[in-house]
Amino acid sequence: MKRKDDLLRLAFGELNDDAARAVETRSDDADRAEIEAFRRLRDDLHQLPPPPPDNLTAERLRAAILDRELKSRRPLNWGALIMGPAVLASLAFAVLVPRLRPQPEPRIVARSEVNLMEAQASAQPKFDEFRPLHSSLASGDRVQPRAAVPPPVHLAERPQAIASGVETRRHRGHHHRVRSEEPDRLPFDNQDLVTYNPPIWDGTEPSSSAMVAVHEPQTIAAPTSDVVKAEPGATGKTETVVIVSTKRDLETGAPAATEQEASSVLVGG
Amino acid sequence: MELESDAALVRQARDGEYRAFELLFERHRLLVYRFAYGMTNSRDDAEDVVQEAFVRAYQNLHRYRDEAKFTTWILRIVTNLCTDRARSGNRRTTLEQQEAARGLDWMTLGSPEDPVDNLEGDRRVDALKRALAALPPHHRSVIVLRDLEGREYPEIASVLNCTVGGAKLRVLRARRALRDRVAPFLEEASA
Repeated sequence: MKRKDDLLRLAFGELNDDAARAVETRSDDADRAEIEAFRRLRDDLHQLPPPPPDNLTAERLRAAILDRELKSRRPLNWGALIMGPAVLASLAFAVLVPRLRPQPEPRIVARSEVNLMEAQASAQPKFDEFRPLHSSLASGDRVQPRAAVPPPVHLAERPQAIASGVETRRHRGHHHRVRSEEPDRLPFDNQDLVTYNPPIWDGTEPSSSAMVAVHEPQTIAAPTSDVVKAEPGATGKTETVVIVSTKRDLETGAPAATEQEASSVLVGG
Repeated sequence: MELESDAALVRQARDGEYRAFELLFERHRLLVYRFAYGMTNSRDDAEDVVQEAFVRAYQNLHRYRDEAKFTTWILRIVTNLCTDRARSGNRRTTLEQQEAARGLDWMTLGSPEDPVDNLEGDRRVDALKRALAALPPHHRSVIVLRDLEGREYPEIASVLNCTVGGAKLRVLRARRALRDRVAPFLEEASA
């Protein structure tokens, strides 16, 4: 192999004079033919035409460098491009879907009507129906304990908030017992219903959309001067209060409550 | 002196003076282009390779070692780019272009002075160009560096990142491979 390499080096002129003379001395006809072939190859390589003139300029290079720098500084985040809209869509769906779902209106029933509601589950009135209160409650007299309780009613409008002086609480599944002088008295029992004369609504927004929860017996202060005793039919308008129970409506899950005419309800204990 | 000048320009370019890098480009543009043309046998491809090589050199000035020659460094970049292009299949397109060009060249071979001799010479040159384009990149690069550009073996060794003895051995093997490839093209041309 070294001998053939020497022949090639000799053909391309890469041997010094002494080494070249030594290779030529020991070469036979085959070696000389190979030397001649390699010399022709070397000559052909030298006769290859030069490359055509180029169009490279410093301006082209500068533009290419700037373009590369800009691309390298602003990498395209494919992950963000793909995941970003998907994440936003998921968040929007999670936020909007619950709001779009129609919220059931609270059904107001008396606490003692829970068993009655279970029996009448299939015959529940619609939300837009209005049933008159029981006549015994509309009389304005103090409600007798264990009296006949009217069937559940549905409010056609939001219940009005009770003015100051009356403690209102919302019972949402809290099963705490109301302190009472009579331990065996449960909150929102008919025994807690007392006559109440709410003040006339002065047009301001109620402080809370409370439903009246009578759960703590207390003494109601004497009505102030701006409080007018509302007599049923006196002004032609009847105000209603809502008495909320700790029990929940089986159909809607809302706290059970009942609507009473304000004139026939007294808050106290 | 030239080595120091190139090194000084590289340091200036590394410090933010783009004009120094432009001077390096102007100084070595033709050398790099000739090498790229020998590797691709296409002016457009050679220009793309040269531009890409200098862009990469600018982006990697911080990796340039001052003890190496700038030409060695840039030619190594060009060698790697041409090798990548060959692997990606662009070389096949170049050969197809060469086939089309050869068809045109055949019609123009020869000259009025001595058409037979010139025709024979042109056919040999054409066969050699085809054989050179058919060589793998690692053989073609050393043929271009040594036999076309006349680079010395130490510089070739630096470009190839090997020893001088290894560079000499690669040149020998490349020449032998070229000789073996050109023979069929010569027989085809004489047929």
